[in-house]
Amino acid sequence: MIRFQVIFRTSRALVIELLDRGIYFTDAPYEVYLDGKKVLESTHVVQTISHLIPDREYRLMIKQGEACSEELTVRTEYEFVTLNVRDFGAKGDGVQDDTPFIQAAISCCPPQGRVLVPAGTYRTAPLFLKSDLVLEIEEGATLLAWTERERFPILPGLIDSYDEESEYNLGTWEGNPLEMFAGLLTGIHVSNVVITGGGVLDGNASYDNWWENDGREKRGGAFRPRMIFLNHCENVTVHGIQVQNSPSWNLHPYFSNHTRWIDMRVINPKISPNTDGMDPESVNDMEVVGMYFSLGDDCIAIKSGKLYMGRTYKVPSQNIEIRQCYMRHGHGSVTLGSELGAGVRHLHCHDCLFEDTDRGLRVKTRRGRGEDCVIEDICFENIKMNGVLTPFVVNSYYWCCDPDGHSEYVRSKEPLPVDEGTPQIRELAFRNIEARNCHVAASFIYGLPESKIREISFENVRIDFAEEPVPEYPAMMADVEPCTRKGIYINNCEKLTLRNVTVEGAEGEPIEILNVDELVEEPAERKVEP
Amino acid sequence: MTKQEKDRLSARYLEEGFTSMAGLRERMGFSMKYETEENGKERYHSIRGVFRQAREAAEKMNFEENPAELADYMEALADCAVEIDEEAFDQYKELVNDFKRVLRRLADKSCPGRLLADAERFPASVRADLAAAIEKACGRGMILKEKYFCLVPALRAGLGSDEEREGEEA
Repeated sequence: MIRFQVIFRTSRALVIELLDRGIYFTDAPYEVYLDGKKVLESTHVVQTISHLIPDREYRLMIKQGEACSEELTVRTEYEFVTLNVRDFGAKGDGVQDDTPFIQAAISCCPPQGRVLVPAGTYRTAPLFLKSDLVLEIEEGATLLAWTERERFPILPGLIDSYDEESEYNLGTWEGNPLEMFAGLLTGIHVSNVVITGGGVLDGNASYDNWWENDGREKRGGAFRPRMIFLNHCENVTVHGIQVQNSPSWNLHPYFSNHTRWIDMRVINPKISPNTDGMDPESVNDMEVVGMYFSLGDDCIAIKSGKLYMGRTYKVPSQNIEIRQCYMRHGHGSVTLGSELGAGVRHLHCHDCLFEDTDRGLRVKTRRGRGEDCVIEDICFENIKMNGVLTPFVVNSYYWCCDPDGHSEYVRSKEPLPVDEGTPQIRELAFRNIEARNCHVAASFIYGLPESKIREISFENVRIDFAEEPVPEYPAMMADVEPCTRKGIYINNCEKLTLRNVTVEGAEGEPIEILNVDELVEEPAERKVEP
Repeated sequence: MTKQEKDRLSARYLEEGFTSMAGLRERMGFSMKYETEENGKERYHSIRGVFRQAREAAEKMNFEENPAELADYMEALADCAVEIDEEAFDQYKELVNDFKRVLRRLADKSCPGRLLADAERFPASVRADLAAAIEKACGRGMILKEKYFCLVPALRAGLGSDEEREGEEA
């Protein structure tokens, strides 16, 4: 019996998720039947069924070879009206600036209405979302961003309230409240929004514009824009679209709650700078399902602000589920940090594929990140990796990107006094993970001596190495050299559990444990092959 | 000045720490500019330490007795806030908060255009320095321009042009 569930529906589409049929791809092709009629074939665990009619009941069934599911009756959402952006003056001819016309349609959208962007190429500057909005970018439609900075509104970083008792934060750059150009789709304090469809959001970035000089500096009065920027938003679902060629981070939910990201593709060239796929920052209750990432930086990087935002607002990123995603070519598949001023907790990443990324799980922190920088209850489960340089990296000495990065305070491996800047890592669990063709190290986990990682457990973990591994640094920290085929390395941990852990092909010790207070180890078929 | 000379000077200033408000004003702007533009922000931590010492000293001062020192302090804060890399935002914010703390002792918060301190009695050079610091802070966005910029002409009232001020001070 095939089991599946409907995980999302609009007035025009349903999204199904097959259960126990594989990771991202199904073990075999399957067919979807609506009211007894075959409507599509797929090999994706998470699949969108589109071109449906509003407020209508459908009988849904799945067949895979001889096996089939039970029939499920599901109703699409009610829809009041459709506002076609072409009726507002948009041309979609790739020439006219369609920004004001699409913006007008968005601003006019009533509750339960839908703004439709039909097939065509729409040149746009940033568009601002409103509450109670469905924005559908239809298959064949592309919102193609202008690249001139003058066309992008600036979101100021921090604005003092008149009484100076408070402040209003709009823009942000790498964890600080700084001026940024508005995102191509920007939501500020909006709720109940759906962005859907099979279309494309194209940032149009290249080394001729946003990525020039690696895009590091602030130019034109602000930092680079995101593709989708949600600041203090509630109940937002983004589904189905492809996001590509972002000037910097692609998807940036910021101080936002109850967001869902479903069945999307996020694609940037491998060489593009800071083009993280998704950067949830100080978010609560987020679901990431069926996403494909291929990028120039981290696929998903979970953050909670640098020192000022972390300490002032103390909003961690928490209650995050990532499942059935396929992450390729980034620096890290799932990264925590490095801006973790308010910590990350309750992250469950499961049933995912990581391929050719530099690292699988990557934690980046360091002294000075602050006592609110607490990482706890992080679980990775049912993950398959292939060609990842180092599957597990926890770096408590991350040197990049801040004035004190190379200071003795950050780099010292000697215990320093615990102070208001000392971060904490509490529980990390890795279960049912297979990492094939690794290059650098099976794992590189290095806690602080004065604030050891409280608990790490590896259960049913199998790691092997590529035949011709590429030497690299396992972590961006001082006093670490490039290497290949290094086994599991763990330093400064209170409790370590190793249950059925296999490392094949390591040079030297397959498992090297230093400064671990309590070790729980159950026999594993450890093989050491030169 | 070569980079090496600048480096030596900046290191010396920071090793000596806080000595006086006049010294702070003279030295920290230079160090902050050098660290930001040429030294990879390596000594930001030391600059922060010097300003923390200065803050303690400032808290023991008042505008009636130490207007020149507090004017120097405000200028030093504004100068450094202009030069600091804004990505070191927490440190920038510390400078801003220190500036506001002193400003509150100078200006009436409920009616910011009114000076609390008896500024008319301040020497012309002090009034000019305070005006310059506030102008800089408004320009940098450290404080609300619509609230505080009116202090600038109020402090400069009667001071005349720069040349006249210099003549008056002489």
